[in-house]
Amino acid sequence: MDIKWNQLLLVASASVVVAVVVSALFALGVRLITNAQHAVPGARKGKAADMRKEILSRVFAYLSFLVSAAVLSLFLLGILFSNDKGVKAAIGAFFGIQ
Amino acid sequence: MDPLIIVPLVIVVALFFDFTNGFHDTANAMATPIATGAMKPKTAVTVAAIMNLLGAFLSTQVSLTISKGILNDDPSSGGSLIQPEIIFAALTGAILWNLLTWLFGLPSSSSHALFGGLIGAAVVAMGFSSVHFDKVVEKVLIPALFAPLIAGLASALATLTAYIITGRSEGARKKNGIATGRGKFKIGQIFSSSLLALSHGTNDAQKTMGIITLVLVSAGLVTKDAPVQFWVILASALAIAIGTYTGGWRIIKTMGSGLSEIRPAQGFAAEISSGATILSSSFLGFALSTTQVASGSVIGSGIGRRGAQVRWNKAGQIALGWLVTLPASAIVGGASAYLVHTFGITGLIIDGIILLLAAYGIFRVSARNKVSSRHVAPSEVEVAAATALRSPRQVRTEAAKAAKAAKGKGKK
Repeated sequence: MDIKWNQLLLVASASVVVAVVVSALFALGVRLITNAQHAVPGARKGKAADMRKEILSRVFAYLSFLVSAAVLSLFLLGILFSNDKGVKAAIGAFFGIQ
Repeated sequence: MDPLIIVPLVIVVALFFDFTNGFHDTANAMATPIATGAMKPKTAVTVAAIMNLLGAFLSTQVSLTISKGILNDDPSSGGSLIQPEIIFAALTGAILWNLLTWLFGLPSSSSHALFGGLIGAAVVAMGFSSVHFDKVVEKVLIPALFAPLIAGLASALATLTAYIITGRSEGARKKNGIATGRGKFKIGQIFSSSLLALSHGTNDAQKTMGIITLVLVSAGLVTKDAPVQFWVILASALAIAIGTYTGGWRIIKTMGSGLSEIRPAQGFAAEISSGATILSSSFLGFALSTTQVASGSVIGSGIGRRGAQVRWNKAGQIALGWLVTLPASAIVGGASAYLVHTFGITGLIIDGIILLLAAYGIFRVSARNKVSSRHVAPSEVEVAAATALRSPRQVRTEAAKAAKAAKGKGKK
């Protein structure tokens, strides 16, 4: 019996890392967009600090959502379309898997 | 047996298996967005059906390797080429197990049901030497043990991270009137669940493509090295999409509210974890069950949120179902193969009649206690309560604080 423990460990670590990174980025976006929404009443009254806070929070929130989507898309595309044996071998070699 | 009879029969039964696979597995991607109210039930199953349909066209890489390694098809080492009759018997076992677990609302693995059916049918028709049992342990049992654990761990950590990042102290919320904004995860859920449905279509529709191609090869209708026929891809894609659209509401109910109370951030984390686990495992050649991964993720998301409850008795029932899947479908597949092996075409007809009667009986029993889209969607009150109500831990902390304050006043 040849159980590939290394590969199983790789599946586990890749899954955990991708899930945590994507969730963290999306959650950061949620937090920032909530901050931006909270600053809206003050910004409408013309408070400079609130206006700055709203714009910055909104920009970084959308950036967070974008990066989160990009990480997930790259992961999906990489896996769906890299059935190329050379790519698999290169990734395998990087992680020390035959 | 006459290929003119057996080949169309196996194709029809394979497509029916694909249909049951679709409605059995709708819950994997759509139970959590339905439970949190991110999507309406009918919208969710429509999106899942479209994504499964698209996913089926994305790859045919593993469609020819459905039984590779598990069954011994090398005549020099006691094995023999897999015959359409055996595939028919295997499908019978898998379909019956899928229908039975659907009736009880248990999210079991369609892939394991198929493997079990194949093993049982091959052992009865060709003997124990026709199965590589070490490969069964390596390719089916070990991944089955680890799939829910890996997905559960990823989901628990992702949920915890999301809650830490979006967390705001009670004081800050009262002082500034700012909310946590966790309801916004519902938007993310629409994308994450769609991604999961797409990966399901890519993964599961290929099983049927593989079976039909195997039958065509064994009947000599296509060569072994020929690519998968377009009509095979189209038929498999449509069957799984129609099955998905039908919506296995019983299993959606179990996954959405039976295992743990799910909120949007948890649902998002669970779907991302399931998608990541399924995709990374299929890349490295592990045949993980999408159902086990999705169930593990839902449980993990319950563990990751403080104050959430995991219904361990339900989880135990599901785990028991997983343990029984392989032997149960092997027994049915074996019995079915025995009839075909012993009585030939008559056995095949008996098998078909038994399958039809059993399916009819299961649908009749299910009609007595019908679960539809109306039973799985949370009510407006539930959705509002999920965000407005405090968790049991918060309630306990507040009660303790109030008691302490009252005690302090009493001393003064």
